[in-house]
Amino acid sequence: MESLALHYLWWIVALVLIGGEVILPGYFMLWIGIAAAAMGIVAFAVPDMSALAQAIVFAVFAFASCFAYWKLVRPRIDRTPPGNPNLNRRGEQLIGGRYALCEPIVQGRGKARVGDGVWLVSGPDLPLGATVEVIGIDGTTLRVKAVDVG
Amino acid sequence: MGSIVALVIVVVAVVVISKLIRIVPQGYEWTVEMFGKYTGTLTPGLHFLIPFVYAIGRKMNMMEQVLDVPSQDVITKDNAVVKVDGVVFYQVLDAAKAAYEVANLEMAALALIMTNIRTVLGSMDLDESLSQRDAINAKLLGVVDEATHPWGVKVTRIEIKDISPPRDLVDAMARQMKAEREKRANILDAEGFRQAAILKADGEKQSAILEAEGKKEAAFREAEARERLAEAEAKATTMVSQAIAGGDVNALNYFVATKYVEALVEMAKSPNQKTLLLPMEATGILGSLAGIAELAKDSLATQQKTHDQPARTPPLPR
Repeated sequence: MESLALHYLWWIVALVLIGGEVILPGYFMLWIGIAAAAMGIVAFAVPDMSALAQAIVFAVFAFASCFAYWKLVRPRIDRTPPGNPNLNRRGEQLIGGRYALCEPIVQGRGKARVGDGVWLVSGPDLPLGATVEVIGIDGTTLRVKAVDVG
Repeated sequence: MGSIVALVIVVVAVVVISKLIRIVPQGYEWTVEMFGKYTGTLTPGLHFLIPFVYAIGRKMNMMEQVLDVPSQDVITKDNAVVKVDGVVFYQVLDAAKAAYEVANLEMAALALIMTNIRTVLGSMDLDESLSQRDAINAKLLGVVDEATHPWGVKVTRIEIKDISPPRDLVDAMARQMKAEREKRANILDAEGFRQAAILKADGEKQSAILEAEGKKEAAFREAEARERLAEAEAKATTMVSQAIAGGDVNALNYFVATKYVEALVEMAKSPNQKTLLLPMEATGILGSLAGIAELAKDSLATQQKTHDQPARTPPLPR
């Protein structure tokens, strides 16, 4: 009767944790909930386990569920295309764009006008007003190459 | 005892797992430190970090942020003290640099911007600073963007919100503007009067000229008329004298007599009844009448020669 209550108890805990995952911020209750559900099954199969053994098995299950997700499930999920990889990455959004220099590139450094702002650029020395194409970004400096307009 | 240990194990497992799984929300990047040393940056999404070894360093906001530049007193080139405030928009592009290259990013950026506002406005006089916001913004952005570059921060725009000179200066400016406008109004008034006077004089001149021309024309025509009249008189005289030469003197008497009688009638009609002018020689009239009779006789005689039929003569007045 007690063992029955025990595996039911594990399942109740599992449900509470999985439910809490939805309500509360954070992202770890799901795995613990899964571990608790698995523990409930073990408690159902092996009725007279000691509390210590149960705790150890539960902890092992919890880590196992995490690692299973990390190593097996996640690589597959990550293959789905992300929404927009350049969100919040203003520099990366500019790659491939063509802009005019508002300061000549001297010693590899100059400035280009992008929209209504100005960005530091690094690249081959070029005169004022030359058109450049953004090929990459280092911190807040755009790496550019010369573009032949014509 | 066993159950306490079991509880501890469960609690530790939960805590460790909560530290193992890291979710970075969109718009943030977290730096990762391994025993206090920076090793990498977590981008938005799910990450697994081995607890005890790795720890989260700084949670950097990668979204564009607005910073209010508090109001400060700035002295312009021409020694006017103005209050200036503004806003700055900046975005962290390199989380690691922003986290470790500068101790307090916001404070540092703010200090930099405030000092640069003083520098830029200090190089302009008041009128310039009030009218050239764009130039100020561009200058500030150029300097500040360059300076924040080592911190992995991109300052996208700086806007001066308000430049307010002190009360008395604003009053003086208002007075100056008013005076300027009044001056323009007065000048325009004077201009108007001048134009009007010129136009009026011009009109008078034109009218005088026209009047003189009219008079001249009239005089010419009058002279012409008099000439014509004289010509007509002369012609009439010649005609009369020719008639006399070719006819009888008594014809003249007829004219004179008719005029004489007409003049008498006129006198009789005069409203002044006291005066009745009688010719000195009443016989003169009769004489002239006799002249008419003579004339009639002559003409009758000539008529009888042409038609041998006696013409009936009207009875002569006696």
